[in-house]
Amino acid sequence: MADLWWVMLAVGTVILFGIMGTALYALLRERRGGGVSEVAMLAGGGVVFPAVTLLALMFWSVVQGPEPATVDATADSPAPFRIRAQGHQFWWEFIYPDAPGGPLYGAAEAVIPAAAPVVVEIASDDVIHSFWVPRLAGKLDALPGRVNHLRLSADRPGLYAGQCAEFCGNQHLAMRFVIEAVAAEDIDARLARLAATAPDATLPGAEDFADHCAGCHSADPRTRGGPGPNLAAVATRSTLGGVLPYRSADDLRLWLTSHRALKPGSKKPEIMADAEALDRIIDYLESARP
Amino acid sequence: MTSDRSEADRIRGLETIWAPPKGWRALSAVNHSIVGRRFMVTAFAFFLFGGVLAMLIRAQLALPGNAFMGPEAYSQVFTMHGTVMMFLFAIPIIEGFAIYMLPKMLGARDLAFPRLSAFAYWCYLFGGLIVVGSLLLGMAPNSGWFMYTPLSSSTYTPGINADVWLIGVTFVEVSAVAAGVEFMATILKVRTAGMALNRMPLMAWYLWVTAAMIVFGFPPLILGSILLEIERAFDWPFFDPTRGGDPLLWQHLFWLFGHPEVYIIFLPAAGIISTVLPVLARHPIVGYTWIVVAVVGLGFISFGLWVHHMFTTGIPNLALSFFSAASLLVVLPTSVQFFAWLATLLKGRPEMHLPMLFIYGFFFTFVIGGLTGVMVAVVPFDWQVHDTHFVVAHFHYVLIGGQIFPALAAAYYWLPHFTGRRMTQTLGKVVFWLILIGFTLTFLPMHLTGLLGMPRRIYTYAEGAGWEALNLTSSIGGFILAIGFALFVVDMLLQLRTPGKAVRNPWRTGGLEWAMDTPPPSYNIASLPWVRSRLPGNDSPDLAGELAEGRGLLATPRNGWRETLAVDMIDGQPDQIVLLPGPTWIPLYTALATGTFFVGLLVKIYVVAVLGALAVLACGLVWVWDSGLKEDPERLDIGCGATALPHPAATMPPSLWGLVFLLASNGALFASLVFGTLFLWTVAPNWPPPATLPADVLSRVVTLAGLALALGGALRALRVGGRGRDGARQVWLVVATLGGLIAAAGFAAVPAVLTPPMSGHAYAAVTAFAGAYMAFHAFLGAVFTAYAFARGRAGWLSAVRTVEVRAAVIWWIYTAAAGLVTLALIHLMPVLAGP
Amino acid sequence: MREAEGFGVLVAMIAGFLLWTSAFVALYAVFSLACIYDWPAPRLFVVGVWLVHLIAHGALVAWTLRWWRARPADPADPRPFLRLAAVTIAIAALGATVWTGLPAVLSFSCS
Repeated sequence: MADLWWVMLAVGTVILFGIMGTALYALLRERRGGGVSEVAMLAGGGVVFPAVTLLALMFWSVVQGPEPATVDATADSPAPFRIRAQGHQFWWEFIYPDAPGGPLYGAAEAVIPAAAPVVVEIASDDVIHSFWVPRLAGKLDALPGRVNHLRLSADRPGLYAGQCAEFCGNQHLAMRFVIEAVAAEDIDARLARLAATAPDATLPGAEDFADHCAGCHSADPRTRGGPGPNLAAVATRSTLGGVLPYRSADDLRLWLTSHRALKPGSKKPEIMADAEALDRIIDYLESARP
Repeated sequence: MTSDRSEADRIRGLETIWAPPKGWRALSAVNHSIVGRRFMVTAFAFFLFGGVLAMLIRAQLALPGNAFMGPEAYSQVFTMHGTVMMFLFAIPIIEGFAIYMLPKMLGARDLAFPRLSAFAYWCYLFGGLIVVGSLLLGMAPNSGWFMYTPLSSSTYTPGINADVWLIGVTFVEVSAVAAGVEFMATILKVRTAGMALNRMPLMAWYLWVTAAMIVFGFPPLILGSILLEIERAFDWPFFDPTRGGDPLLWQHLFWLFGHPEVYIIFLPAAGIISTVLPVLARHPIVGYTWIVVAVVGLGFISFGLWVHHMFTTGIPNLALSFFSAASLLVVLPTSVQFFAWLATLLKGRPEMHLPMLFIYGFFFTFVIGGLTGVMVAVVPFDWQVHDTHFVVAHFHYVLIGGQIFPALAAAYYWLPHFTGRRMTQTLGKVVFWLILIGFTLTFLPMHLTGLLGMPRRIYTYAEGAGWEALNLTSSIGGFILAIGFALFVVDMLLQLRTPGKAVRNPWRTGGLEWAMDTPPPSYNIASLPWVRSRLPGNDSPDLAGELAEGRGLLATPRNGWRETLAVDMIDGQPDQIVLLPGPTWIPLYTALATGTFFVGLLVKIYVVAVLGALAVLACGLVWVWDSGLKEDPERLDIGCGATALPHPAATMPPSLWGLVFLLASNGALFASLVFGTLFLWTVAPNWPPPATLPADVLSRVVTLAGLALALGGALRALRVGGRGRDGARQVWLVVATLGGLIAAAGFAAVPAVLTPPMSGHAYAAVTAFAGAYMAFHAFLGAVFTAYAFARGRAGWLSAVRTVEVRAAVIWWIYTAAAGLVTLALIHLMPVLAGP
Repeated sequence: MREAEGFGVLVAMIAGFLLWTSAFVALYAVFSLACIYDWPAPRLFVVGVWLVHLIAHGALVAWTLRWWRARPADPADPRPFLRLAAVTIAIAALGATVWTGLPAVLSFSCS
């Protein structure tokens, strides 16, 4: 990819200077060129030169290009790591269908094995979104009614930022997410930890959560829940709603009380809980923090 | 020209005949210079409006975390910026330029259908006001200028916003198709004597191809907009994947229009370069034939790349490389033109006047836009930069480089033609440098912003993303660019108002548009030249003087007629005198009726819409009723010892060519519908449908019989009418009308017998739509034959005056063919691909 | 009927690209349908469609060349220009069809 860009940039610059140079040269008073052959210019410059250049580019880009990003789901011989990225207005849901012990549900942050083939199943239930992690692969759209398969592989462990790349409504901007690549041998342990990350159900806030939040959100990583993101591991995330950095319980309070102003256009309804109930809900969700 | 009247009499006669009305009656004028001027001024006003929106965008993005606009306001502003610039400026400015300049370049006194240009203008104005007005009310479209469903569907955009786009833009597109049809017929027929195809100015070739691209390229989007509006209003699920629709169908229809659109914008601009550059390089254009071939090729190939806007939708790899190859191929016809221009520069002695400066600006910017275009045609590269600011930079280089710079060159090149005075170039040079520097500062860094990962259409960005300096630079550049355009407005106003030295043909070119008084009189030229080369002005030292003195064709006005010539389309021998209409209110009334129809749809009061549609039909009948002749005309003297028939007695007057091209456009819409149907059958989710059309033989036979009766009746009417058997003709016209009504009823029955209902599955929706489309056409066909019948009764038809019957025959050939395809489609598909 | 004849000449002039249009539509349709409906030997269909069009293109080039050679010598006549344009368009369109078909023929795959 990078090679392709630099070569195209270099050749393009030469062509730009060639054309501008010729046009400016024509302005000189004392010059040659009046006798230039029309056929040489038109056939040579207008047809043969670009045809050869473009054919070379066409073949080279096929060779240079990455493995076809879209893959047939049935053609996955070495059993790649599967993860589902489901676009919603305005957040990404991540599902691990093959996690040990059954599917796991999460949102906004996902984990994959590094240096191993990964297939992201990209889908949407509402409008068109586009899944894009610039440092891992090109973008591929999340289309309602279809599932697109993106094959990618992270060279080394680390955090890879991603974002929605197809305009999907007023909070298109907020559909940012993070993909964390961990060493391939650690992936099962990480998934097990994810499965164990959940708020403490014995806290009084569990009841308030059930009253005020559970209509849309699940706090159990094994349950998908309603239309809102799964909140089991919300305390481990670095941002809230894709727009607010999440460092402490205060950020969570700010988010819950003023998300309408922080993320105008979001589908999240106003929370009707009173101040004490809100405190208990925050305690409850924060209890999942390791 | 032998005439016993004095020259002054003749000129006074022409002036009276062609004079546009004054005062508030000026709104009824149909003269091409006036309509063209209105088009250009309106388009430029919309350009300034779109420019203000661009400034709002740049103000918002200048700083990270800027709270200048909220997300909803920002969505409306960027959607409207794109919509206004593409639909209300880029296309209409071309139409305005062509309406104004084309007849002058062809040596004609007006376009083929002056009332149609006036109608096109009013449609454009009203549609534009609907679109722009919505922003002032805060209800503007907000789903991006390509309106992807389902975001633009009623579920996710419940308000009126998307309806404004669908209805307003369709209204404007009706105007564009009308203009396209008019240009095709005009260039083909309404030229001056001797202007064989090989002597047409290159601009006419460019505009012909552009017009053809409008005529074939706009219908897919018109169809898409109609389908989406029906889905929004009546819940027919064309694009809803849960009920057999497919959001990708919208993308196909949109880009089937959207990509040719780019070349529709670029081609006339390239035509300006091919016209102006040789004049200022003081050498005839190199490679006339090569350029014609390249332009024709571009017209075709540009229809084969639309999928490159959909490279990230997950389409199969083979389709990716197929469309990638086509996208690279389209470079070749463009590069042929570039090398023709370079060769002309090298062979000539270029003079650096102001228009040439803008041409060099075009070279610099458009080549960069073309090169980045090649880059995004390469699939793996596109996957990274698609929907980032790199693409924003790319298409602004293509569109501003490819249209605005040539348009500014044209503005300064033809300014002396417009004012009749010598112009000053000082301020214009400042304009050029401000625009070039402002443009480069805005958009060159934007490539990098995109490569650094900034997506399009985000209303703000966080500090620390690494995009701050680049965005600030772009914003500063944007304001310099805006100052450049403001100064251009000032310069134009000054040049139009300041008295200066009168001058005719300051660039010393032989182009026909300069062989007339400047500013041009309402009739353009006192007499039409018989041309013998591509640059007739070079053949005789004082062509303009000779023509003004009446030493040409059609010099003496007669019967108060507005006359111009129509010629054989190939060799340019004169074959008809076209009698053009004078001032009339009917285009304005028809446009108001059309507007009533669209506003009725917009506010969802369908009674109003139905009344509007009936008013359009009534206006249409009034419109066509008062053209024609009551007597069989003689061949009339046109001067230079030649004669020609008035067009109502010709076998193919320009109006019938207009009908042919209109039906071609209609055929493109129908073909898009067939494509859509096949697309849904083959690739949409949730197919096949739960149930299909019942196999009812009787209704098919009745429908077929109706079609046969209508077409056969119309053909017979033409045949017996041509032999002078008026009574038999009238009988056959009645037969054809009945046949048309039977066919209309047969097709109208299709939606009634469908299960599931239209809102249940896309199959029912698309089948019902096809039935309604055909019922509408068969009904209009019956109107055509009934109209011919009425004309016959009133004495407008004879053995030689057969235009109305011919029109009915042409309509029915199309309708019968489309009817057969429709019957096959709705009855065979369930068998071939069904459950 | 001069009008119909004139229009026929115009159509002959752009015939090359009409053929390209046919090739483009046929290739796109055939490789899409062949993969969707699992036709046996899909590549054969694609290559076949391509070859049929190339043969037609070749015939058109030969025909337009003959037409051009039979042009009148009169420099004022538009026919030499039209026929030269027809030949050039026929050749350009042949090239375009070769180009357009390359990916489908060389790297055919249904994935």
